[in-house]
Amino acid sequence: MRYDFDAVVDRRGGDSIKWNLYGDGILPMWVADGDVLSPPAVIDALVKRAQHGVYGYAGAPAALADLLVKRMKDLYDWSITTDDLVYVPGVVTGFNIAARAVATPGGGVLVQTPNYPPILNAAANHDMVTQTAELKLVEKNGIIDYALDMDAFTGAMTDETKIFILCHPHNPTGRLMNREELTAMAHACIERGVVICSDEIHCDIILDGRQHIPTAALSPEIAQHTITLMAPSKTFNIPGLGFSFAIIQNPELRAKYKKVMGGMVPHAGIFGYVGALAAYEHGQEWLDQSLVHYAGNRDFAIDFVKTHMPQLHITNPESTYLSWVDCSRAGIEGNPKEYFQKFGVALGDGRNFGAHVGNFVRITMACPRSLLADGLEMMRKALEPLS
Amino acid sequence: MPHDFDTHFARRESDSVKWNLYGADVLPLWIAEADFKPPQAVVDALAARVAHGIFGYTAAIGHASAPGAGWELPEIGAVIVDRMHRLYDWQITTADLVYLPGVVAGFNVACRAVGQRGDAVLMHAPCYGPIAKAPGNQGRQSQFAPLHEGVDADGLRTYHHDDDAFGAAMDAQTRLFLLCNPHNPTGRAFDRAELTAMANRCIANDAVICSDEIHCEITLGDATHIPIATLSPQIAQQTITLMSPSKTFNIPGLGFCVAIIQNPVLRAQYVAAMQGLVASPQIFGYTGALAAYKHGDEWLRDVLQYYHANREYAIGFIRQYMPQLIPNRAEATYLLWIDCRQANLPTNPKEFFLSHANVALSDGSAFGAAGEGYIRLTLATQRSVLQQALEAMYVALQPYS
Repeated sequence: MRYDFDAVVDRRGGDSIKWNLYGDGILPMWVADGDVLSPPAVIDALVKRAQHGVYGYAGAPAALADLLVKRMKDLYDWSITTDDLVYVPGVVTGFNIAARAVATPGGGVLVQTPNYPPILNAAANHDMVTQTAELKLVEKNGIIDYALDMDAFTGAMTDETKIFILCHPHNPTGRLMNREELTAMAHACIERGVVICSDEIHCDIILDGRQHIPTAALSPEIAQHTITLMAPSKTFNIPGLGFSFAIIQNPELRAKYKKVMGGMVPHAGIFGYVGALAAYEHGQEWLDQSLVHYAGNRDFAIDFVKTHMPQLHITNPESTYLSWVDCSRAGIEGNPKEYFQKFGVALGDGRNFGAHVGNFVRITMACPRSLLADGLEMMRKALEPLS
Repeated sequence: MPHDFDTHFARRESDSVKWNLYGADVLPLWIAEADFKPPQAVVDALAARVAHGIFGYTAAIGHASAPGAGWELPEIGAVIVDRMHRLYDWQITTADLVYLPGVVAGFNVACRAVGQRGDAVLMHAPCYGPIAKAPGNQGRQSQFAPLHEGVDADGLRTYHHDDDAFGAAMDAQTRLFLLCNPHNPTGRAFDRAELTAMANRCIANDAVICSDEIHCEITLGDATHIPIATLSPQIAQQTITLMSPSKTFNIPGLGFCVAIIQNPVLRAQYVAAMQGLVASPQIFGYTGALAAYKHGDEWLRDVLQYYHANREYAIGFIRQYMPQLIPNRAEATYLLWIDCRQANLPTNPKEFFLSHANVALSDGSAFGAAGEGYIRLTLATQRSVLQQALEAMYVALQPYS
């Protein structure tokens, strides 16, 4: 069946932080939270569970674990067992647990910049030290791209480095690291006894038929040093259901991870399980079509920027539904995010993504085309007085 | 029209942990969860929310400095502030509220927020498992003050705060007192004198109080609940109160809890201890809590009468047919705490009733050493189920009486 990703759903006035943080006059494109309807199978399953009427303490359905094991095998030829799975309410919680499981206060947490704010904030949450390795910015024909800088990566590591939180596919740049890049980072970590926590929440939002490679699937040795985090949240646009999972094949590491969770972190709620199961079971066709929609939105945005706002420089993401825009040559005084907001559109603030990217904004494009066009048009109008 | 709590409906084919942990022929009266549908307004609100079709973030993610931190879900804060005023004449503001996915996370966060690694946390004994485990989870030592156990005129077990034991269990390392009020498993709703004694000792010892009041609205008959923070402004400044609609409206699976912390310094410490690990409640916790608090009070009035009647029925049955068991008369909660030590059972009472009566109860030893030889029975089920379980227990006891 054909799914409609262009239907505009009114999200104002409810529980959505995206749509209510900045008030009624502002079109929100900041947080990575989509405005497309979830797969009908997910909605149907949730309706049925809601109507059941008793909401007691709920266990995870066994079918869900089996499905995830099969999914890893089918998508990545990665063999895991149901024992390797740990359910968590979100990937942000997931990598915060990981930091605590392997490092103590004062320990080093390696991250790459730019990066999305919760990754950059994780170390501080636990009185640990953030160590940053910049990605290399490359620009070609007005399009910006990022590459791994291995010297910066190893240069950022110290004896105190305990964990590397990788964001893969990468938010905000949309880069999909390749096998060589992943292998180089993984080996550098293993040599220094650094655990890898690979946040792969965008693993299913892969555009143009590319292939995602989970870090842990590179080799059994790397798998033993890796905590992988995945979720249906971005894939099926259900972040609010609060279901994510960690894959930890090293039993010792898994035990440490679960110990940190004890008492503090509930697994997931009833609706998280129901939604995840329905999504993975019945959502593939919807997902395939959503990727075409997102790629179309990306191409639309690139075209629009090239034609109407050449003073901005935008990414051509291989993955994610995020666009990362360099505004440093647009003549904006002050913070571009605040500037654009005066013209009606709320974007992701580059200042939250790293020390050196304050002139960038992030655009969430997981929305009907008409909303994206509205947002871009507001940006164009905003730049008009400056050119 | 009074609500119908008598109609039994199948729960085994659902995701219920309560109904699926044991075999299909076992009646589950163990976990503290009711077999009733919540107020219809809750079901309707969830169904409407689900039909909306988009399930995004409800809160800022991961850190107090995250974009959007400080944005609050509509209405719920005002509803809770109003409820505290109405029920307890307690004046709080929405700024005092911190939302969490559950009270267990709530008191674990408290353990982490107060004092240092190696400091001590005081609890009453017995107490329910997740409380007893919390200090250890967070690198703190555990201290226990036994409740005073007695017998009333009807021969039923009674429990009181034992202030001498409490004082003796405390020392210079005690930085936090984890109170459970109403008390699980004994069903005690502590009175003003008892609470004042606890609070005074905590203040003298410079210990923070974390009061788990998840059962605050499950009070039976004439019993009343007093939030410990309402005793005095000074006590309020030293208290973290945890409340939730989970037990009140039977929605534990939705995951909603609120911490009320009037002292801004303590609140900041508490929020700092949550960062990254403990997220805000999700859509369904919020939706369910709001509907329940706004529209659930008639349902609550009826269900409390049902619990009360179930309690009287169970106590009557036990006194008449199983006098070797000694229950309490729970003033609050829908839990019966039953002393089986004089029943001459060949095994641990939980194992005994599971294997001989096909009734699953909670093992008293899960509530600490003070619970050895006891069982906890959840009364929050259809009368027919309760009756069937008690009769099966009676039959199982026959060879041993």
